[in-house]
This record gives sequence, structure tokens and C-alpha cells, in this order.
Amino acid sequence: MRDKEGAVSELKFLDGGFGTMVQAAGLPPGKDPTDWNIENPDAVAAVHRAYVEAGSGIVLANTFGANRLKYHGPHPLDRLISSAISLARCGALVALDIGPTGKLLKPAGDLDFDAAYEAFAEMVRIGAAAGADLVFVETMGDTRELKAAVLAAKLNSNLPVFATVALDESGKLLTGASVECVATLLESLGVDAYGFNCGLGPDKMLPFVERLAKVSTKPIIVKPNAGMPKLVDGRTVFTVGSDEFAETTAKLVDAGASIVGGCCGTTPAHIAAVRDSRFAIRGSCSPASRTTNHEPRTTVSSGTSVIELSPHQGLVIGERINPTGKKLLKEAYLRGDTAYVLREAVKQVDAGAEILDVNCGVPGIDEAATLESTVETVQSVVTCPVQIDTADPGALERALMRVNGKPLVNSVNGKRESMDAVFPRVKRYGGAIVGLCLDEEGIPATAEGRLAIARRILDEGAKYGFCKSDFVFDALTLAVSADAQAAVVTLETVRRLTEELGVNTVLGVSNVSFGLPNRPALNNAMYALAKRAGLSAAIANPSLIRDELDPAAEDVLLARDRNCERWIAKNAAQAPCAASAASAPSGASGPEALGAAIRRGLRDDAAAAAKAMLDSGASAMDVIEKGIVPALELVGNAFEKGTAFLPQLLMAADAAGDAFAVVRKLGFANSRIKQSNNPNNQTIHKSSRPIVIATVKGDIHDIGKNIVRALLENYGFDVIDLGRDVAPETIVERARASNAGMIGLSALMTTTVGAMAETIRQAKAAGLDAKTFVGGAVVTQEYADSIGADFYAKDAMQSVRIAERVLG
Amino acid sequence: MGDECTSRKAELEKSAPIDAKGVWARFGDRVYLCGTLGAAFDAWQRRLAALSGADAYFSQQIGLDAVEREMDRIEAEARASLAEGETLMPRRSPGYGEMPLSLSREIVDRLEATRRIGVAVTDSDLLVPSKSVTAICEIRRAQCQS
Repeated sequence: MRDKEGAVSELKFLDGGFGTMVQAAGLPPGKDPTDWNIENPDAVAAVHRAYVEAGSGIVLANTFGANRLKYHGPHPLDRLISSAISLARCGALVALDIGPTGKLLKPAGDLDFDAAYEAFAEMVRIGAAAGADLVFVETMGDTRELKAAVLAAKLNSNLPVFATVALDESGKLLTGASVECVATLLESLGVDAYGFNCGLGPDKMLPFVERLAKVSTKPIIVKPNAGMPKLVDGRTVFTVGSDEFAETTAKLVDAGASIVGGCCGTTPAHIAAVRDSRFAIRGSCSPASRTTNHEPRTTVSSGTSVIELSPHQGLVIGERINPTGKKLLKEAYLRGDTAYVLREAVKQVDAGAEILDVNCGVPGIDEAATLESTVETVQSVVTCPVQIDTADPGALERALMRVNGKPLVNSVNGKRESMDAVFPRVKRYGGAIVGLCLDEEGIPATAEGRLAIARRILDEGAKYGFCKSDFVFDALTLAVSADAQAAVVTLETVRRLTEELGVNTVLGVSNVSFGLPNRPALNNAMYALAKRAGLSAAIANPSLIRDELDPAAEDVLLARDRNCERWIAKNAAQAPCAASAASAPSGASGPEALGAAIRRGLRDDAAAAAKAMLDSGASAMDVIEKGIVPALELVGNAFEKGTAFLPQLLMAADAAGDAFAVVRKLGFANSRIKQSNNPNNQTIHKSSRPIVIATVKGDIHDIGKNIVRALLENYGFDVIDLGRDVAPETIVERARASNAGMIGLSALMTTTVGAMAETIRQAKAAGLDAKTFVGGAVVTQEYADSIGADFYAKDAMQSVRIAERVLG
Repeated sequence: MGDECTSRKAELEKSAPIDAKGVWARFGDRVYLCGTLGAAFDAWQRRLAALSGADAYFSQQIGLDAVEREMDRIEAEARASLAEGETLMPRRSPGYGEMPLSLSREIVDRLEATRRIGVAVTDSDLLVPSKSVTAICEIRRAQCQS
């Protein structure tokens, strides 16, 4: 088994159910079977022997729940695991069995990736030292936990790694990952064999094995239940007998499975029946023969979705989570404010981005920590894959390890130093790689030069086991204003990379228009031409990029407009600011129309009315003071009197927010109001001190806090939202660093309000003068008083009133 | 709610990723129940909350209604399984009344709800995904009733 090839080159029989076997041997209900490795070793060994006698060539040691997050019994883990490995050694290969922790990882739950990884790594170290022949990760229902377990196995031993997941009847994991999503991740992590166990009987597993066989290049494992489980008076019952099980399992082998066993409800009789039917199995079970038909594909994934890149596709990689030229994002990173990133992520996906670039390169910032937390923040709200964009190898490593799914890595280039830093890390943690066609000599002026670098990157990558489908090459876009031939060379490079090298390509298209007027039209033309040349993906703003080819722009890009003279003459007179999408509603104008739209919560109408006021000569301050503020006050007062309700208040606040956004875009030049970091980019309040808000440590329910944030922002306050499950010391540090005027804390349950008290205690101990306000389902005025909070906010509107009182 | 609120909520309801799942089992004279809307609903809520306080609020209402419907469904299944003369009493959830929040862990463990429907309990006894509910119904026998 030390020879990985030998482990998987022919049909292998695994064992079957273990829990049901030890229960039959007398394990009391509620007793953890893991304890029997110490307390009843003979019974454990007898189960393993029965399976080996039935034909199992690989048995799973009794370590499924032997991780420190799940096991709470009396025995030390090293004894439990060592004993389990020893008891399983009875003539077959012995697998260290790794099951889930029983907790949900962030962002779905509260478990840190590192805690899960460490728990699994501890098991692997003990199991490997005890002589396990392989590691078998099983019954995983979450891709992020699956990744933690597989990496723990890979990075803490040299053993082969098998992995199986539990699907539901729709063919998905509990966290929503499809068969293809799981396959993309596990192929990328380099496991030796993978497939499915538990959850389904063999008949229901069949269509999913057929799907897996279309995308897997590894041996496929199946370990079905003896039918679907039923709970009868607290006991799980399975109804499929051994003959029926063997008959349907044979179909799984026909479909491509080559490592076969059973899970819940199966017994040595089931395994023996499968073994005895092996000669009836038709077709090839050889993974080598099955996989030779696969075309290598370039794929990336998240926890729930897979994106395949192909030539001429032109999919959009959202570029907006990159602080270059974005002051507000830089500030958000420095302040630890998650709201800006959340908004940009959602807006870009809504606008059509299929992958999101995440870059945290800001001087003076802990890039590794910021990149890790930003990737997690993005993945908490959108389901698309991410592109990890960093030049810092340490930050890359940290993000690669923890990102959910298989990311795109931006980037490697032809410099020796870059390849030495990027390739081993991507090999270790998985990913597809953007290859930049530049090296120590810079960017070649010709397509031939850029292709030569691409070939060199491919050759060097091959030494690490990467193939063409693992790469997406960036032909590099330079400004046509500086070099008339720039776009011609880029397009030629895209075409030749696609046709001659047979690789996927990517471009950051907007560089091409630098220094010229009407940049969107030039960018669109570059995108359109590059797609025709073969472009697989564009790194762009999804709200602006279109496949539109303006003939005049084409002339510029193809060097037919000398010095861009015609383009400049045609476009120089254009207003620099693009018109807002909002248009004035018919027959409505002035502050009355704006106020009415806000009061009714009509976002588009409010934006249009604000634009109409500005267009008719009103100042930004007029729009705010005569239109927005009176309307918000009216709704706020009605809410407090009980004649309007929370949803109306929130809709009005959203509409006011959109009107603010128009003022920011179109009325900025004549605005007397000052900047802040809220989405409206300005505040109507006197104080420049922000409000720091967070859901406290241990509490992951944040909808209430999010409502408070939205309302405060739409009333013009500068809010730093630190997110949920935030440690007291982080809140205090962020409040201190930002000179916050207020700290708002939210907690939902009695079990988490203690963290609220601790945060206030630490804030006072640190000497902060920020006023504290608290709220949440179980918080009362009495409790707020008892923990020393300055204010109790019974609802979101009360938070606004408190802020108005404190910050003016 | 005003007309705009009602129509916005209805619009959101159509796009809500509701994949309700529930499990229940009888343990002696008690039925344990657990239902959830799954992780996708949480992500959808966070996504709405990034851009709109009102949508965050409406999604909360939609989620609460949907998870209660799932609990009603599995409670009805449990009721239908009772023997003649047995009555299922109203369900009660940990964290309300006399029932401690910590009881959620026992319900999740005994129903194997983490493996079966993806519901887990955090260190602070909260259920994840957030739109999840645990409950217990007592079973009364006819001779016990006056």
C-alpha cells in the first residue's frame, strides 16, 4: 500500500458498516464506539476480522470520531488511535478513518478552519506513527471541512489519501456542493482516490457515480448504505439485504467505481456478496482505462459552484475588490470594515461577474491576515469562485489553504523567483494559475516573445505536475496612448496562445484605454476583439464591460487612428462623468417628489428625483436638507409613534441611501458636506467620529446588527462594521484605532450576552471615551445598565436616535 | 405593512433559496424534531443585507415562516405515526420557557441532525445554519387524560 499505484490499480474491496456491528456486539445506546478501542478491544478486532474474512482488502480503523473536537470520552486520543490501528491489522490494509468534527466551519458555522485542520492533523500524526497504510477521509458534508481533512492528511504524512463525501438525494452535500464541485476540489488537492459514502443506498448513488465518472481522473470509491436509513423508536434501520446490495453495487462498478464497500447497515455478509458477484461485473474497473477519454479542463470552484474556462468565452472576473486607485477600499481594509467588501462582492455578482478577484495589497497592512479574512467575507455572501491576487508568497499560502474550493491564483510570471514561490504552494493547496507573459527582462514587445515566456512557464510548471489546463495566460494589456501597437500585440498574443499553445487566456482589459477619453467604449472594443481572438476571461468591472465594438474604437486599437487623433477629437468634448442610470419620473420634480419617493421606499424613484433636483440647479446640500432629511424624519417619527412599522422605515432608509448615492456621484463638486466611508460617502452629521458595530464573540446571528448598520448609514453616519463573532479585544482595538465616537454591540442569546459585558469592560479598561450602546433579542434596559452600557437600543431606530444625541 | 413592503416581500419570497429539511424521531414518550432551511438561505440573507436593510428584514420574516412550515410538516408526520390513544402535545423549543437552550445539543445529537440535515450546535449553544429549529413534543396516552 506504500506504493500508491498498487493501492488503486485494481478492484478493491473495502469494509462495511462498523457502528451497527459493534451495537450488535453489545455496545450500549449512546456509548461512543471509539471507547471500545480501549474498553473492549476484542469486540473491535472481531468486527475487522469478519470483514477481512468476507473479502475486504482495506479496513477502516475505529477512529471515525477520534478527533479532539468530537471525542469527549475518558481516553487520550493517542492511545485510542494507536490501539484502533493495531486492532484493525488482521490481514488487510489499514486505513486511518477520519470523519467530520460534528461542527460547521465558518462562514456557515462557528468553527475556524485552523481548528478543524489541527484536529485532523493530530489524528494523522498519531495514525501514521501507529502504522496506518492510508488515510481515509469520509462522510464529509462540507467542502471546507473536507479540504481541512485532506490537507491535514497530505501535509502531515506521506500516506495515500482517499476521500468520500455524503450526498443527499439531490446529489449535493449538505452545504450545497454538487458532484462536480467536490470533484474539482479533490482533483486539485491531489487525493489518490475519491467518491461517495453513506447518505444513499447503491441504487440512488448510481446517477452520481455516472456523473463523477465523466469528470474524475482518479479511482472512484463507493461505500453506500444498505438502503435509505429510517429512524424507528430512536434506532436506525436499514432494509437492503446482501444480495440486493451486491446486485446494485455491481452497477456502480459498471459505471466506473473501482474501490467498493459499504456504509451504515452493511455487514460482512453484504461485502461477501459483493465479492462473490465480482466475476459478474461487466466492463472495465480500471481507472486508467476509464480516464483516458477525459479532456483536461480548466476549472475553478467555490463551496457550491464550478466554473469552467474555455476559449472565446470572455467570462468576467470582477476587479473591484482591489484597492489600487480605490481610497474607500483602502480605508475599509485599514479599519477592518467588512461592509464595503460585502457590497462590492454582491454588486459585482449581480452585474454578471463569474469569478471575483480579491486583492488586499495596501502599504502598512498585514496583507496575509487581511486577504484571508476578506476571502472569507466574500465567500460568506456570494457563491462564485475567487481569484486570489497577491504578490506576497506568505499571504498567498495562507489564503490558498483556507479558501473554500479551488481558486484562480493571480499570478505567476516567467521570473525564476516567482515560479519558485508560486508553483510549490499551488501544488500543495490546489488552484488554477494565471501566468503573466513577462520575466526578468520585462514585457516582450512582440507576441513571439510573450509566447516564449508562456512556454517557459508551462515547462517549469510541468516539473511540479501542472499541465496546460492548470493555467490561464495573461497576454498583458498596455496603453495604446503610449504605444499604438500595444493592443495589436496583445490581441495577437491572445490568438496565438489559444491556437498554438491550446491554453486559456485572460486580460485586464481596461489598461488599454489609459490616458484617453471615453474609456468605456475603448475597453468594450478591446474586450470584443479579444473575445474573437480567443479570450477566455476578462478582469474587468462587470457593471461596465460589454461586448460592443465601436468602429472608431476598433481603429484606435488596431493602430489605424494615428496618435488616436480622430478618437480624441470625437470624444474629448464628452462630459467626464457618465450619466446616472436614474431618470426623472414623469411629472415629478423638487424636494416634494424626492420626499414622497423616500417615504414610500421607492429606491429608483428616489434616485431619479435626487438627480432631477441636481439637474435643475439644486445644490447637493439642498437635496439633502430639503429632500432627504425631512422625509427620513417624517418616517422615523411615524415609526416612533407606531403609525409606521420597521419594514417601512427600512425601505425609506434604503431609498434615502440611493438618493445619497446620486448626490455623491453628481453633486460632489458643489457639495459642502464632508467625506466619510459609508456607502453614501458623506454624512450630514457634525461629528467625524465613526460608529464601530459588531455582533459579539460567540454569536453568529447578525441580521439585527446588519439592519442597524443599514439604518445608521442611510441616516448619514459613518459606520465601521466589524462583522459577527468578533472578539472583545478586536472591537476595542478597532474602536481605538479609528477614534470611534460610539461602539454598538449586538447579541441574540443569553449564552452570548456575556461577551457583550466583557467587551464593555475591556473598552472602559482601555480608557476609550466612545459611548457604548447594546441591543438584541434578549437584551433589556436592566441588563444594559448592569453591564455598564451607556445606552440600550430597543430597535434599529433607537440606535439612530442615540447616535444623533451622541454624535450630533 | 404598506403596499410597497408587501410587494417587495413577495418578490423576495420568489427568489429565496428555501431547501427545507427536517428530521424527527420518537424516544419513549417524547418526539424530538429538528428542521432547517440550510446554509444557502443564510448566504442569501447576508447577500441581501449587504445592500438593503429592508431586504434583510423581509428575508428574516420569510425564513422564520419557512422554517416553521417545515417544523409543522415534520410534526404532522410524527403525529400520524402515533398509536391509537396517543396524543402529541404542542412542540416546545429549547431557549423558551423552562426548556434550557443547551437541550438543543441533545436533540441534534440524538437525531444525528448534523450528518442528516447539516444542523450543528455552536459552542454558545446556537444552531447553525441560523434558520434552524429544534423542538420536543410530549406524547400523552389516553388513560392519562382526564
